[in-house]
Amino acid sequence: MSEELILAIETSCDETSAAVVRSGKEICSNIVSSQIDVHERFGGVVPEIASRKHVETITRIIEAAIAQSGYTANDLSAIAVTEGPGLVGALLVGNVAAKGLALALNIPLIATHHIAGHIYASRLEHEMRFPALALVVSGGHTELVLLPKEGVFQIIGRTRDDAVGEAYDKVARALKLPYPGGPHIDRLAHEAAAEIELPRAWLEQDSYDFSFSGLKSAVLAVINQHRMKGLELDEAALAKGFQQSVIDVLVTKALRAAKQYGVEQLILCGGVAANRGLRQALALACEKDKLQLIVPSPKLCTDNAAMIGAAAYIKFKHGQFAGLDMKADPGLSLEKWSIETLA
Amino acid sequence: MNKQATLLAVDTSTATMAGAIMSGDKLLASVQTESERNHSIHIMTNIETMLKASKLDVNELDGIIAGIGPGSYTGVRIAVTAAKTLAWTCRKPLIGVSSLAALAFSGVFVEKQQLDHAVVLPIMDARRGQVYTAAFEINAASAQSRRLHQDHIVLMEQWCQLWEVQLAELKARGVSCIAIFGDVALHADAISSLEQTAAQYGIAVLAAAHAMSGRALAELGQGQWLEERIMPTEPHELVPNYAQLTEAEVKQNAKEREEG
Repeated sequence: MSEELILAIETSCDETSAAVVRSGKEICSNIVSSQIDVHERFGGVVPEIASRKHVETITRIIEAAIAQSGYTANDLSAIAVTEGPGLVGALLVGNVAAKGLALALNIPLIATHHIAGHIYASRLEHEMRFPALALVVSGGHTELVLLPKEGVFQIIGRTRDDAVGEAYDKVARALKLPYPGGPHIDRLAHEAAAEIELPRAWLEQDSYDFSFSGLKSAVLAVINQHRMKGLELDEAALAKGFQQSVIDVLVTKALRAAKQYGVEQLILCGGVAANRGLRQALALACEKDKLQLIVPSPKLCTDNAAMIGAAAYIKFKHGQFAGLDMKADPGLSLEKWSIETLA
Repeated sequence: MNKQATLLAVDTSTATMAGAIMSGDKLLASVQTESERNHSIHIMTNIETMLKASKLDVNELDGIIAGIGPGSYTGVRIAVTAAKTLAWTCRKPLIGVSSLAALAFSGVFVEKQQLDHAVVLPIMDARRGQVYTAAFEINAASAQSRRLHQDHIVLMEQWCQLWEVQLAELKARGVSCIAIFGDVALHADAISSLEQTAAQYGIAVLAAAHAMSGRALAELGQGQWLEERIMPTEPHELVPNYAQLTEAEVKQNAKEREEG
């Protein structure tokens, strides 16, 4: 069980990526072609353009991933691909390419969950221990996922409206910051001398769910009030107030859940895990609670195919393969993707 | 590519999943099913089934042919992605063929008896009164066919008017029929108007839905029908022909022009 090579493909949004991963742990190659410069002028990802770019680059990216791995296509043990969630047109390109490879090379196909990928990206750099808790934060997701054992996922909290990354993008747009806005708000918040305090949405007392649309509205209200009164707005202070509210809720709920479920590790993952403020606050809180915190490197937090290869390896070990008639599922359930259902 | 080459052809630009495997002039297997929205599910199992029926391994193919559109955006990406991935993985020559040419010759294939000297217009509905279309002239006597118009998108009404003003010229050239194949039901009004005018010149208008045929696509890829030289493409280079920019680009371009 040491030389299994999985070629993984990820095209769920605006990155075309392919990777070769050995035994679910070791990255042999991880090629990521970002389309960010293409979507920038539209202020966000345009699904049709993302799909067009995927078709243009997909075989080049696969070729580069295999070449850089030092192996050949004939050395591969399986093909893994993101089945969902994501943009359906974008997912389809990766899906069809993966099926073509599986047919041509006559090797198994593994349908992989994008969020399972974000979580198991941890395994590419760290030893994972169970039970664990994952805080998944990205442009499309905000979830607290309990991992009772390897390959089993239980969502204990999720956003009821905007994802964290979405809230960041909307606030950034209101402050006229360039796309994508997350890093700019993070930077402004760090530079801020003052803070405009904003409300926290705690929801019901025992809930692990999140809500960020109210916070976004509060930010817009502050901007409008200043504009109407003709006052100059301290944008950095507002960015800090927004970021502090987000971080406070995320950290508090994650630590409370970690305690309740007695987990060995807390995993922070997803594109927003690159946020400095969030990483620092979570590190401090975990140190206080003597809880091990795992955060993948920034390049493994954003969408990439190596993480898909890491998650797919669990399915590989259990012989859970997909047929050539697999279907991309933009709303794929993480819990149902588990290797076994919880009793 | 030699005459006896064994070729796999696939097209998913329309509601029809069309595929064929041909060895020279011989059809080994084919598929023609209606499965709009589900092309991505069935494409690889259909290819697998055709290979099995032909008693071939994918590596035994001599080349792969894909319909590159225009047509459904998502649809054309499926056949193009499937074909380029297979061609790249198996190191096979890859040929991209216009899906409109394939649609035109799918109709010609069925209506051969009716068509002596004809202009063939394949049409695929592109919404808001528009069609993706092209034009071909076929002449049974000289056994030749040539392309008159490139693949493009146009208002169906305008497209029919363009042919109305050329009727005298077509008549003089010996054209006896204008054949329109594809989404004809959706554009019945424009077609019937052309039909009435054409009748005055003694030119018949034949409108029929004829679904995309994998065999027609394969034979086009083999270079049997069109004079155009179709050369193999490097797999990485094969991209769909959408015939138009995305809506987001059109809007953004207009906005940026306005803002100067």
